[in-house]
Amino acid sequence: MLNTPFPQDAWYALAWQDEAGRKLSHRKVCGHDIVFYRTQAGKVAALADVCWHRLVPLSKGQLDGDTVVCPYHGLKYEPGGRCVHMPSQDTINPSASVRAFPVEERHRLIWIWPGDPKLADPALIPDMGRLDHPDWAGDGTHIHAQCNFQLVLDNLMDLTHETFVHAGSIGNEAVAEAPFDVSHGDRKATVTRWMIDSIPANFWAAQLPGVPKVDRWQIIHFTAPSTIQIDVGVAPTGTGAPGGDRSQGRNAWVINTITPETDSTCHYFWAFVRNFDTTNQSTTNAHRDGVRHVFRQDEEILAQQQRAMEAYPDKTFYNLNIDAGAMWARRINQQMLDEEDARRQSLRAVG
Amino acid sequence: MSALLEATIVATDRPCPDVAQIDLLPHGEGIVFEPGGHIDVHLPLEGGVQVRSYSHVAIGPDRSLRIAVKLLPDSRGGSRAMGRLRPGDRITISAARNDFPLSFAAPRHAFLAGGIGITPILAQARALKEAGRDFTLRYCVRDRASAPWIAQMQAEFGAAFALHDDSAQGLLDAPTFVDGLGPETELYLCGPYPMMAAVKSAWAAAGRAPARLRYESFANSGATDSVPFTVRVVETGTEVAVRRDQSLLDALLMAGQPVMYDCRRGECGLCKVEIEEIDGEVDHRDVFLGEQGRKGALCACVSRLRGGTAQIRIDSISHGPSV
Repeated sequence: MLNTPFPQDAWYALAWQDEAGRKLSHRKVCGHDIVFYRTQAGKVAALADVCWHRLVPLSKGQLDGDTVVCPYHGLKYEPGGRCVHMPSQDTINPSASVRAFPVEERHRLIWIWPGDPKLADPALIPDMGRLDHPDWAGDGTHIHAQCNFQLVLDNLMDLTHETFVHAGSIGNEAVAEAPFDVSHGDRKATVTRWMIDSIPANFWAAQLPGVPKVDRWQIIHFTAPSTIQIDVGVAPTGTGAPGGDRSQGRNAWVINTITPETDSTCHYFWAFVRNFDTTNQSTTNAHRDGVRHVFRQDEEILAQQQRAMEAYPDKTFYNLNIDAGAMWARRINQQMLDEEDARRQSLRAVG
Repeated sequence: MSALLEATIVATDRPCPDVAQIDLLPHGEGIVFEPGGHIDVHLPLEGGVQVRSYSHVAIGPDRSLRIAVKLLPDSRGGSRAMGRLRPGDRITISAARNDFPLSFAAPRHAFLAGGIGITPILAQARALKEAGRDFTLRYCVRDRASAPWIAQMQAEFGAAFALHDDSAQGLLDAPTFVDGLGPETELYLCGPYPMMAAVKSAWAAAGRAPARLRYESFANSGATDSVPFTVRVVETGTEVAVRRDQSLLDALLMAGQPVMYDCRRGECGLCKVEIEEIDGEVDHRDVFLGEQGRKGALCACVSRLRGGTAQIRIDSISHGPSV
């Protein structure tokens, strides 16, 4: 099974906001080694982590004011990637520069555009507004997942696996056996699953103590190429949640955005936010730790899956109806890749 | 260095009498087109294969690359060979690192091109236009008849485009031009050496950030026309005659003199030779040496004597910042 290629012309999460500071940090995004830091004015700069001169990683160097100093010969680069100092000469070679990547800070994350910079419109950053909205509270982290990014998308687009991978926390029999709807649109796909009058899995039972049967929902929103936000919750059976009245229930969102690192690894940024008990840090901690435990189970499965793909390069996946959401995500991403390829081919001939 | 690729010439044109426009189709995977980037053409010339760099102006739907070559009487042989190319001919090329990358992060952009220096600038301006960004483009030409694509750029860029015709207006006044640019403007510059030198000096005098002046040199023009001269190499006693269509570096190498070199564009400083005695003046065409460094040395790949003769040393060269 081959690894799925990823679009370059897209915004991807580079880091959580607090990961960038007055120090040099390294992360690889879509095959590009990136060094990133904050300037004295607090703005994030992201440069190719490869010195123009002898290719040494700049992230092993130092920050001097707003400039990055190469650890090998002391060449200095400003936040736009231009060399502003060279050793042993009176002038600076005019071509001396490293690539500077478009970056934006939004929704508690730092976003980077690895592709064609002229297309880097900040309006294309996925709307993850619940991450920084006062009605919603919660926290998350970053997982360095040992699998192709598409495997994480597949995982999140079909939650049938909760019954088996996450039995005891969020999974039970009801998940795997409830029907689901799949729809798609421009750059989007949605999977909706209602578990009407079901026994709540342990995590949800704890959110609604003493309620024996619930209407549980999972509404999975995919935004291409790699953001998946899942509207999840429970309400006591018959209190109107399927019709839109969630007032008796408990609602949370699992916010996920995946950044390809290499063909076979990715950065998985997630948070779990809720609109109840929002000022209680203990709840935030409990939810974050609970989800971290759940996602470790996924991480292990996904790493095994990646190793199996590499062990059996000639075998392909078989797709079941539970994979419909993942299949739409794959098709939409393939359209993005095709469009990207067409753009590269069709740059105008004039002159 | 990148792998060598064969390419077929698919079309040629003369957008003005002394410019050859060439569309070439690389075989195989093709070449990544980036505004400001160039390809290297490997030409069989006197003394073996020589490499010439040409900015790519555009890429066609068939992935053919468009380049344009100024046909120069002082050419080192490259422009003559390029000017003879016809559709169906094959040449050898290789991809090259983009030494003149365009930054979309700059708050404001201005372009200044002189003559054939328009080639990388045109690709960059088009990229900004496609991205919906504002910019200005000043195109300086010796006269309208000797400059390609004027009408086309007027139509394409409208009010963002301004022509400066030296034959009617005199040479561009660099300090006035630089003063006319808004603060924080990033200027992209490509043109003949005297123009670049004037703008660089005006830029520094205006106290603007050096990193906001981006330029690319193309190593074949100086303050004066090229003329023949001779040098005597102190270490070997060899007399070397340098023809007007030949660089000092090429003449030294052809005479078997061991000289270090790399960029061949007057940028890296590796081909610096030192002058012991000189009967004549040096036409410095490099961007490497500072004012101090130019006293008693020159970059052999691009700089030359304005006639006359000099004794030069090619070994025990002193490198480093001037003190």
